[in-house]
Amino acid sequence: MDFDPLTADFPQRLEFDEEQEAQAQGKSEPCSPLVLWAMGEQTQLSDGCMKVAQLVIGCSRDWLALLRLAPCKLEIAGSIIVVDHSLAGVCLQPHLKDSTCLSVRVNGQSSLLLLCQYAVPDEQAVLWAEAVYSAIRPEQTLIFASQPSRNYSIDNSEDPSCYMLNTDQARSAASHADRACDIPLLPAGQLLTGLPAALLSLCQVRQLKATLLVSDQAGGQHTRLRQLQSSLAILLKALPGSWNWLNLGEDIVRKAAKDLEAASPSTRASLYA
Amino acid sequence: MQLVQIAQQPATLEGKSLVLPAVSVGNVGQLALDLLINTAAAPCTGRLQTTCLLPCIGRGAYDHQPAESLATPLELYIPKVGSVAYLQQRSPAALGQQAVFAKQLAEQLQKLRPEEVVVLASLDAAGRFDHQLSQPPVSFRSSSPELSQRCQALDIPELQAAPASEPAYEDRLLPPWPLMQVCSEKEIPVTTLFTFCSEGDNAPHGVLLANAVHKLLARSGGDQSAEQPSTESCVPHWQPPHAWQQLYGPVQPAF
Repeated sequence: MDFDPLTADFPQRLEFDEEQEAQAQGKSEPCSPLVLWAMGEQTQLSDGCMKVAQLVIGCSRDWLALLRLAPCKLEIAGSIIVVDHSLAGVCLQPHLKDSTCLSVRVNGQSSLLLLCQYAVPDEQAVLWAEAVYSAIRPEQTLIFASQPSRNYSIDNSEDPSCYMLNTDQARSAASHADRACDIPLLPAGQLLTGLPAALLSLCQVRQLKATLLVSDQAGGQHTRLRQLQSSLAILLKALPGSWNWLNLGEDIVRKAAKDLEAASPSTRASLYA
Repeated sequence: MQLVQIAQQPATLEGKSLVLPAVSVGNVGQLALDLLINTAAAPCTGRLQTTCLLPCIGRGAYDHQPAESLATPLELYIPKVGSVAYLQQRSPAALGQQAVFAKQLAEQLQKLRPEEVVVLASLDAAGRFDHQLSQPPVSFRSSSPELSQRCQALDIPELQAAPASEPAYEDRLLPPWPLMQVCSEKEIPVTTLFTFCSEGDNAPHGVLLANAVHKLLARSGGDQSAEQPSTESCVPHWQPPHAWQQLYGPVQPAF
């Protein structure tokens, strides 16, 4: 933007927005991420898609720290690669601080866990969601995410730790199974954005069964993780199907807290790593 | 862009007018659509999926829908009575995607074949030119002579052109101009109603545009879904959704 800050009037916001749009239009289109499968998994593909009964997607560090320690056999089934995203520094063994998204098969059965450990920009979130649901056809999806308290423009005086949202299909399946869930719904008028919103929105449009659990990022680490664990336990009781592999005990919460502390770049432990 | 119809709903807008917002300053068009849809209790008949819009999700957008029902970025609402349909857009196009989104939307409009398209938009009040300061609050631009006549019969003036020293409105890259340009190229009759505003509490501006579009479409025999006013006044009794209660955050405690 060409103006003299000492003598000229500051340009109006409209001019600034127009210039940004003009510059952005000249850039290339964003690329879809690549969904890659391990050699052993490729025999399970049907029409190029992986059909699974349960798909669990973790989108925030707190949830990822817990889900990685799920008490079951976890085997890496594949990875989701975002073009122009660096893999420098990725460990040989999966680690919480890696900037990767691994797809993990649970107990060798028809359940898949996606551990999305990198940040997906809002502009690419819908592409990411479409790529995942083109490659994976789940019967039911669980999405775990967190949003900071400042993003909520609601009266949070009752201070629930988690809110829930369901697609129409998930809601009708729950009502058929006559299972109530005590987790409060996200208050009306509050919007979620980013990758969790892209995933749930896509499921709603395509009439898939999906549930989103979004947690607040307030509070200390241990407190937050315990609240996530208890919310998860409440949710699992209300879901149709078998979700025993997601029952997380107190020892998992303690281990997850230690992993988060070790993965945090500001801890003293990292100085001696 | 993909339109997913909700079961047992018509897949065409033939014979109907389609009202949609342009995501612009103050979100006035979207607020006006909220009033129109909530007052008409229009059911959601389809959802559109596109990679151009930023993602957002919420629930309980309108009072006539189940409280748990999700609201996605682009949804089509068709009231059971009347010949007006509404397309609500809840999030803006991503940076650099305005032209692509306009093209996709125009192609979708070609498939749906509405009789006419009315876009509700707002312009920055700080960007008004001198000769626009004394204009009435609502103005229009239209690609159809018939729609232009209807607007003028309602004393809605045409939006005057920018001075020669400034970029023309038609060359702008932000909504509603890309959509208007593409619709004109595809010969889709489109009329845009504008109001000037600044960012702030823009609900009154939403009411202004809702009143204007109601008069415009009622005159053509279209919008019969809002509560009919008395003959002396043409101002409908708009019902804002309960979701508007948190529009500007939670109510602060009194001290």
